[in-house]
Amino acid sequence: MIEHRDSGFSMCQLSLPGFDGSADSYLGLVAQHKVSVELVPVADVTKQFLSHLTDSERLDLHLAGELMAASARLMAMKSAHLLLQPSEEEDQEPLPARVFDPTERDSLSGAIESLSAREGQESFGPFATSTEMKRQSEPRSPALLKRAWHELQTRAAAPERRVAVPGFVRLEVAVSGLIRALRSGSAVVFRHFTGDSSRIDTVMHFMAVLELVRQRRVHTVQEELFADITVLWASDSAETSAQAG
Amino acid sequence: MQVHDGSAQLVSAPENVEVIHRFLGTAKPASLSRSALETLTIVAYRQPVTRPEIEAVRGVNSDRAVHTLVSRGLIEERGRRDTMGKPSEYATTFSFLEYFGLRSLDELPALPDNGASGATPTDLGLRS
Repeated sequence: MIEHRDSGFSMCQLSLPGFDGSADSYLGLVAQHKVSVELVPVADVTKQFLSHLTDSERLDLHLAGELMAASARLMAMKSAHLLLQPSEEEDQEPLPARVFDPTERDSLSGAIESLSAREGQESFGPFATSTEMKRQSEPRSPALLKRAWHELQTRAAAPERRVAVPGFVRLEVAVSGLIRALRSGSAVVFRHFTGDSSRIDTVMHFMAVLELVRQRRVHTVQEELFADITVLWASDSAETSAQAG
Repeated sequence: MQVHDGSAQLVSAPENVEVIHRFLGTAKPASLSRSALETLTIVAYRQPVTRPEIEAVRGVNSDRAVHTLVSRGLIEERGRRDTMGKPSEYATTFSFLEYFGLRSLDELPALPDNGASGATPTDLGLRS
């Protein structure tokens, strides 16, 4: 079932047909069957969850995981509800008489009628009751879990990086950045561009170096195979002649 | 106030159900089928109870009814019986009390006289 924390989750506001309020209230209503799961606009809910995540200044991995789990749970509940289910009566296979005690059933018949008469006299409890999410698989080894946890912690503590829309450096920006760094007088080691950058950023910077080499504005030095590539600024005269050429 | 399994919660009074549904813009939940109601009654009075025990009272396969009640949150698994096959034990939840507007299991109607006259859930050894 849907499990959520008070912090963050309750701050995610949903605006849906017939409902305006916090996500935890809405999910509580669905979990308690106060809102028919058939009427839940799962796509809208997911879109608003994603919007809430991308609007945040920092990516909260815990909250993101909870919102995704909640969306998946809603989708599973709605799918299960929409699938044709056999009625309970169709599922009833008579059992052998030796395991059936009709006297006990008779003693409960009055209680069944009493409970039936009480149907519809609902009381409403807290909406945001946490419900338990069942584990779908056995836990992995503690060492793997520990490594995954450290990785998540590192990513959560890293400077802001939006994950919904991956940003990348354009070639022109990479070229001008490289020129600026080289003109300040120091050589640039290419590894500098691969440290915290994404793969596409690294490719863009490599293409920028190639472009500058083609224009003879820089030259590169690599002492041995697989060693660091050092980019050096060519002389201004070479640059001028290259531009004239 | 509803009390269940050592916990308590404040709830609205059952007589306000219409007003609250109108306020929330929600519909009343679909009624339970006869077989689901039978199964739920057995769980309420005999909890914690295993599926074979439910079937022994009803005389029919109760897989689907138990599944329906679990998915509606009216009953839940409460561990496993330490016997052959380790069957799951089922018990009622807070949602069960909410659904029927009961304050506790003690408010369940007493069973008719069949050797255990006027037996309430507490008499049957259930936790309040």
